[in-house]
Amino acid sequence: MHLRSQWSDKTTYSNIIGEIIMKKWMTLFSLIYLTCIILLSPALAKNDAMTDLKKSIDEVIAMLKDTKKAGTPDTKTLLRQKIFQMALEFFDFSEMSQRTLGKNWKKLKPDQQKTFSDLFARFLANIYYNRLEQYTNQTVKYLEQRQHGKNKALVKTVIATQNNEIPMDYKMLKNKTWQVYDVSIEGVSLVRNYRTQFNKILRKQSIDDLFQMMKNKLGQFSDL
Amino acid sequence: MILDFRITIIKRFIICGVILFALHGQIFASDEITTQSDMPEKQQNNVPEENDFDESWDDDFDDEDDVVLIWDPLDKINRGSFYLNDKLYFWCVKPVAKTYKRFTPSLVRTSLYNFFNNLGMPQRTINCILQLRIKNTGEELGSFLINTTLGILGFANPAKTKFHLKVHSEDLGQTFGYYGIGNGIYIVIPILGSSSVRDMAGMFGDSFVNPFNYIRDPYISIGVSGLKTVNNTSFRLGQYESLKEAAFEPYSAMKDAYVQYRNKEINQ
Repeated sequence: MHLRSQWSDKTTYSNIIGEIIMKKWMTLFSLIYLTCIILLSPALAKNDAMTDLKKSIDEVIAMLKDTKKAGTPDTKTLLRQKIFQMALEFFDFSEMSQRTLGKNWKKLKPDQQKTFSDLFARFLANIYYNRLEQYTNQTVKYLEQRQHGKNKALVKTVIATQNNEIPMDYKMLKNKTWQVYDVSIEGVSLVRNYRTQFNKILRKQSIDDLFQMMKNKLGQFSDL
Repeated sequence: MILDFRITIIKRFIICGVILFALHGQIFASDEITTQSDMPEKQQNNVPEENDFDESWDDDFDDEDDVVLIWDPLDKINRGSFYLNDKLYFWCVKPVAKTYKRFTPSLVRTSLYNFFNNLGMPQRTINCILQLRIKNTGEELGSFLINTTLGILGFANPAKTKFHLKVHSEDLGQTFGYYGIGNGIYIVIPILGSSSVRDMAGMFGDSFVNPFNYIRDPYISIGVSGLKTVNNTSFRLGQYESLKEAAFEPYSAMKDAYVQYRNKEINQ
């Protein structure tokens, strides 16, 4: 009897200690857990590249659908202007111009750089608009995104058409919001493709010739 | 009508046509673009993320400027072929494909597309094996079996729609690339479009497993290749126009796009 009571006393005592330890651990764990959540939440917050991309693409698609319903010429010119405005937010045209010209960019005077950026921006916006006009009812699937450093991200999407899927990757840069600075369609990077073309042209011709060429090309489009 | 047409064709022209079409029954490396595009999701499962990521990040403009993607010593001749192909597309292939598209129900076109695609199985499977892609080989064989039986000789594509099996556009040129063989020289082939020494060698090898090359009658062979080309082009009308519209230097644009596209195909 004596022994037994001693035993039971010990067990209750150790139980209590155990419980206290458990509680401590529990609180510790929960604290760690909480701090983790608090620390990670900015990273998980809504302002990531994919969300920004999705938002602007959804907006453009909604706009296209609206104007297709209305379909008067007035709404079309309005749509052009709206899409150009959106393209200015959506793309980082100065970054694109720099990357496209590459080493040639540094050889230009600041005013030439500005002329080039402006022309290239208008050109790309026109191309962007023309591609959007071909939009019928494809869906965009957002596959994944990867961040590279603090301010760069790659977002992979796929455009599903009737009988195939076209992979489209966006490289994005964080300024105020995330902005696209390169688009790859089927693995073909737009910036790199234009860089090859401009390199080829600038090897034989001057930058003013290129400007003239761009202006001619812009003349083909109805104006933005 | 058809008989008259046959008589007017000079014999030599037929022979040339047979050889060219038999080599590769497609214009502008055409059907790769459509068959290829199912793959991005798959790729992400297989390839370690960081590698892929870094690869796609190597474009910082100061270090990549002088990299010539492909050697093009035949520039002058290639530009000639490019010009020829351009005219051939706008004057011949496009109007034919456009008319064909207008008068052929979309169901027929899709079925034919599936049928031709299904018969590309030997080429794709062999190259999957050569690249030791076991899973892809399985998927190829699986979809061929399903499509040939349940899909009624391949005219339907239940492997994709019901079983979610994907085909992988693989060819011998890609296999060479997989084992580190470079493009060599850029070549624009008349009628067929952009290629390189490596990819031409690949095409030659692949032609041995192309079922259409075992058709003995040259008329049927030409007919089938022509139908395949026109049918495939009918899904792609407007793509070449878009490329040209967006290009300042269409020849360089096409060359660069070809190289980038092939590199991407090899890497996945």
